[in-house]
Amino acid sequence: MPDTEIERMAGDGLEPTPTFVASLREQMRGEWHLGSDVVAPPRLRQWRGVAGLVAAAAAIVGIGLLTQRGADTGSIVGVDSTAPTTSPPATSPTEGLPDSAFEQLWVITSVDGVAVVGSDMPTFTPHGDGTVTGWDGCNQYQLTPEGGESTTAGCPAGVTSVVARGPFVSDSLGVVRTDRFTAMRFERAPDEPAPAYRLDRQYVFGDVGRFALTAGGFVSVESAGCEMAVEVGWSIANGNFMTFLFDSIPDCSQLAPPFLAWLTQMRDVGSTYVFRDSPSPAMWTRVGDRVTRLAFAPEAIATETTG
Amino acid sequence: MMDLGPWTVTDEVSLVACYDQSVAHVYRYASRLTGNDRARTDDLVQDVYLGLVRVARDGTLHTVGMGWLYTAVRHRFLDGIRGAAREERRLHLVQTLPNGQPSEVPEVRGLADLPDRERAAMVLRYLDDLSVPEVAAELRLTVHATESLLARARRRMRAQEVRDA
Repeated sequence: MPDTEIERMAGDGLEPTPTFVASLREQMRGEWHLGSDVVAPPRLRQWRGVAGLVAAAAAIVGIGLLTQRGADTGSIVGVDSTAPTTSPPATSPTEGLPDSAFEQLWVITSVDGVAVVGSDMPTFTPHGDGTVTGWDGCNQYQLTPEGGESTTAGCPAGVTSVVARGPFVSDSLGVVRTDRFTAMRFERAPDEPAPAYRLDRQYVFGDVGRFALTAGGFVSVESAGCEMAVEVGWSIANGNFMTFLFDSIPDCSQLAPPFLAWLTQMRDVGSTYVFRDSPSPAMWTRVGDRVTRLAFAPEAIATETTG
Repeated sequence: MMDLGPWTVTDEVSLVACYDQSVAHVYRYASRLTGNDRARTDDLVQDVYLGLVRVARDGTLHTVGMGWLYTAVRHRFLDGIRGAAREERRLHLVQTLPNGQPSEVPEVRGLADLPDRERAAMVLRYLDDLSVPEVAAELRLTVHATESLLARARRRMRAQEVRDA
């Protein structure tokens, strides 16, 4: 089918109605003034500052409680990956990086000791001219040795400021670190990346479930003879990650109870999961601004076995 | 399509000027993504422009071009269908699981009748002229999966073309 035919079938698109155009214009004006209206006089701002501190403290306590709950029950552990960061001023975005690190794609795997995974994982690539380019979890950014930072418009608070700050230290395992984050090197694949997952193997999560990848890009989850297929996608921009949803649990009486409980727990979180097999296989998800992971018991951490 | 703008958006007047000059183009593009669903198009365009106001007001964006607006529309639309895909996948599973074969390709009468993801892939590939790897990156799929998606969409449209003939 020629492109022109597809263009024809696409049509010209709809025209906005005058009512819609006028209404949205007024909304935009209102939104613009809303921004200036919230600049409070000094006295009110002072109270807002106190309120903000109280809110921040409550949020920290809330996250702490959630984390504690996750640790106690083995359920969901939450971290706020988008909390504003307070990094020191930049010296050079690439300070401390070994020569071998340049022109490579790096993926930030943890911030302040907390894993950050998913299709929104931030990346950076240091360049020979001292600049750093990358993805901050929402859009592209660029950092310059002079301290310039072209960051993203319309994005939630990300980790760009963390990415900006060295100095780096590196180890022999292809990992670089600052005092805030850890990053791993990923192969840059300008075209189609070869999935990092071995299709001739099965990934087993302890005794709760088994993931068998097929060449068709699907995952089979088996338990006591019961199989479930879910759709899989790989992220290109941020390395090889497999995402899938647990929104359909097979009506199968042979489902092993621990496996069923595990599936139910993942389904109830209600978000896309990301499976990563390096450095150790794990399952993660993102709900709103919160990165969560299913807290496996130590013995239930995935191990890779030949299938 | 890209000869408009860029606009400086540092105050209310310039922002409204940007809006007045660009909204028809942005709306048409959004409607192609939504399959001419006016309600969804309204929501999508509204989200984009109110988002623009916020970043302009905060001073994080001083200049905006059609590229920024089209990209914002595309990203918001794709974010939306990723959420909606959950239900679609559940239904797809119900159709597929009994014999392992996909159900028959339903009839479509044009891009507007394609499922969201297929329509998005077609718009990005053929109307936005993105390469298949670029479309794959936008949809967060493998190139292989994206090619399959495009092939399925073309097959539906071709089948309808034959029926119409």
